[in-house]
Amino acid sequence: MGLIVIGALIIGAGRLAAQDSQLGVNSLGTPARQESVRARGTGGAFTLFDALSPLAEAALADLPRGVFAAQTQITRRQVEFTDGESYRLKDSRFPVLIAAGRTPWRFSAGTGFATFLERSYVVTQRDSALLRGTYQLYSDEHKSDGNVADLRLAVAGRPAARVAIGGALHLLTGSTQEEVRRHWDDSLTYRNTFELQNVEYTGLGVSLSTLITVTPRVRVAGWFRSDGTLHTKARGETVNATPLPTQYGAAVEWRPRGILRVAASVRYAGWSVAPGGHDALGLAVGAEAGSPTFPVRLGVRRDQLAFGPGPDAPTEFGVTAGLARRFGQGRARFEFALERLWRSAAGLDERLWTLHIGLVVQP
Amino acid sequence: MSHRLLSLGLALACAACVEDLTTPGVCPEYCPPGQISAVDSVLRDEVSGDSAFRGYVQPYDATVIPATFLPGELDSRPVLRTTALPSRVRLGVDTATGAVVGVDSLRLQLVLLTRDTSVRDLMLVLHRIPRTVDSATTYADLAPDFAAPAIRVIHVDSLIALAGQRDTITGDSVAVDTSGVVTLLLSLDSADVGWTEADSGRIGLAIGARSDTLAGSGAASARIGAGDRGLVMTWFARVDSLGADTVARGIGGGAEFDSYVFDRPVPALDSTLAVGGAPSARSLLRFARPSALFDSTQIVRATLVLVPEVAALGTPADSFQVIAQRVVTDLGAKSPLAGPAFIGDQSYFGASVVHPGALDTVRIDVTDLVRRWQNDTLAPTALMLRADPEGGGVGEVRFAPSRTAALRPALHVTYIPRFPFGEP
Repeated sequence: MGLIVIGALIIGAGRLAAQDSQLGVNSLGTPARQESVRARGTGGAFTLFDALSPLAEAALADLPRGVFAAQTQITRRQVEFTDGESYRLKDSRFPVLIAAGRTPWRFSAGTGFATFLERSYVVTQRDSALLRGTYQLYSDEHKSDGNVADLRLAVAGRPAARVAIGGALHLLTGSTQEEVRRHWDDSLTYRNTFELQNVEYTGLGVSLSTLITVTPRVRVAGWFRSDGTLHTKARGETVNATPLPTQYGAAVEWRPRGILRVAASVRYAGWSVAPGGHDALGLAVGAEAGSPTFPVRLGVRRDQLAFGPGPDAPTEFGVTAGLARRFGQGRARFEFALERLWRSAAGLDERLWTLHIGLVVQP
Repeated sequence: MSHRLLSLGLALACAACVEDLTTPGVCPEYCPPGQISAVDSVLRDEVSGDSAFRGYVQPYDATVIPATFLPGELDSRPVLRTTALPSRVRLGVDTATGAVVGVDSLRLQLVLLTRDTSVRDLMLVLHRIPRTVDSATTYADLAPDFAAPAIRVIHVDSLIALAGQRDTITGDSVAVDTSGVVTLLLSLDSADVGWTEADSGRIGLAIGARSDTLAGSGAASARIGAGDRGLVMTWFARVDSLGADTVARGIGGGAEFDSYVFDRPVPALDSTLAVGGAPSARSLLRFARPSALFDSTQIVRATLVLVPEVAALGTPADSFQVIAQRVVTDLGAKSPLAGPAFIGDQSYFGASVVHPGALDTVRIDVTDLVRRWQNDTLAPTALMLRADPEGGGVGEVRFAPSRTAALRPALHVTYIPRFPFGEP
């Protein structure tokens, strides 16, 4: 009963979404990392080896039994513009839900959803407009609430003892509720305005991944994903079609000792195909130590971000730590990860603290 | 263990339920794509089928009656006919009545709703006129009576200036409230009002306005209440006390007819859009419905722009309002005017002040009306222009009609086009 309550609270605590950024305001959104709490705790180095990370699917082949995982994250973000203005923002999100398990055949299957692009923000603007010969002061507010989600159907199997492969179909879907308001200072003369619109997004993608056991202590993984076009609809009409990137990555895992695992990964996303986008390369190194009952994780990563002003991609540097605790006779566990991020872009710096909490149930 | 985990989960879930994502935009780099834009547009071709009509409110229907004097130009005088005295009144608490055999005096209450406060020594001049005064009576008919000596000249400003605001000689008094409304209580003796049994005590009175010619031109203006705020009077009558003696009795009454006459001919309607005057004129404006504007924008301000073809008629002190009011249905001259749909509803009219003698363009805020047209696509897109107080003065303005290309009525609209949601 307690597990059900906790699970419901975690799911209800936030909306399906991922970590946000001001860099996603003037673009398609902020691409999400699609990583489990465990992978997040290692800086993303273990993502391609982690069955509960929706990014890649080959690791599903090693699932011993069915699993359900959900996670939430709580972020405190400080935004500093170069003009000296500084703002503290906070949000809570629900970025990943996954259900997977073995099938009666020789492969495993998984489904669930994860945030693909986060599009939640509230931006205010103060300005004036020349109307009827005089300048009228106003305040604008543009609010967007929602995201593009990635609904995934994945399968994975081991055609050979040392090789696991997986593939997935991705349905990109979601919506944002957008509001724009204008408040005139002289609202007796000029009426305030308000417009509300539901903006819908659809797209399709496929991904393939593989996991190869090189030696009993070394594994390597590869991942490839291609998405088509993200169609944007508003007022019942398609108003935008944005090409989505091809992404790929690779990782290596080394087990020098039984209780210590070390991994490194590299990811690339060709976001320059999207207007205003930059190709983004990410590197991560992480380690996991301890027993399966109480593992401890550390990681560090450096990424380029997909969207931001100027010719160069913004950068992100992060340090992470995490742990897990089993309970319920080993059938469930809580995962925790704490992340400190520094983002830098033209005209803006962001600093984030993010706490990730996950619940994994394996009946 | 599970209880601790449950508590931890509860605490974290509660802590997670917060959100604050508001930041000022640093544009364009960190602002959302798409901006709210405001557009100003003057619609000159949207008014058509405009016409003027006269005869809505007659002088005898007006809620105010003007006493106006503009030397050489205008003399407007309220005219009144009092109610009849009863032939018999009760003598005491029983049912015994006695015949009215004469009057001692008459007390009149007049309310000056507005007056030209720039005038020195405003005088109200009372004349007796025939009790047969009615809606067909003209200024010319009463000119001989106006030429006769007045029965009383009331110096309003002097009366206000008196201690206690009361004239101990004539018995007249005055009260001025905080909104500037002047209430006059006039005492007239029997010699002034001349009660006659054959007329059942009805008398006719005319009131003219004048001012000190030594201090100015003699022009004067005041608006006197009519109808519900009209004349109140009390006769102090002598009643036959069943042959023993006569006793005094106060008998209330009022005006059974009030109107005004003036010495200026009513101008005939022409192709212009006339508003005001007596009998009052209204003009109907019909608007096209530009769907690009009405169906896909948010109107933040709409102003009806009217250009007078000639300077507005009337006395300088008697400015009046031009009201643009929605119609319930477009039936031409007989279009019924719309009222508020709920308490506090202001979306049925717009108003602007017109100053007689001026040729200024009149701009009427009709934002609420036009926004209502947006919301109610079945509502007739027509406005009736009328004066306020309607029929309560000779002030009249004539606007250029739609056929006068250069000066035609226009709708000045400021609007916000649809926001480009989802567009890059």
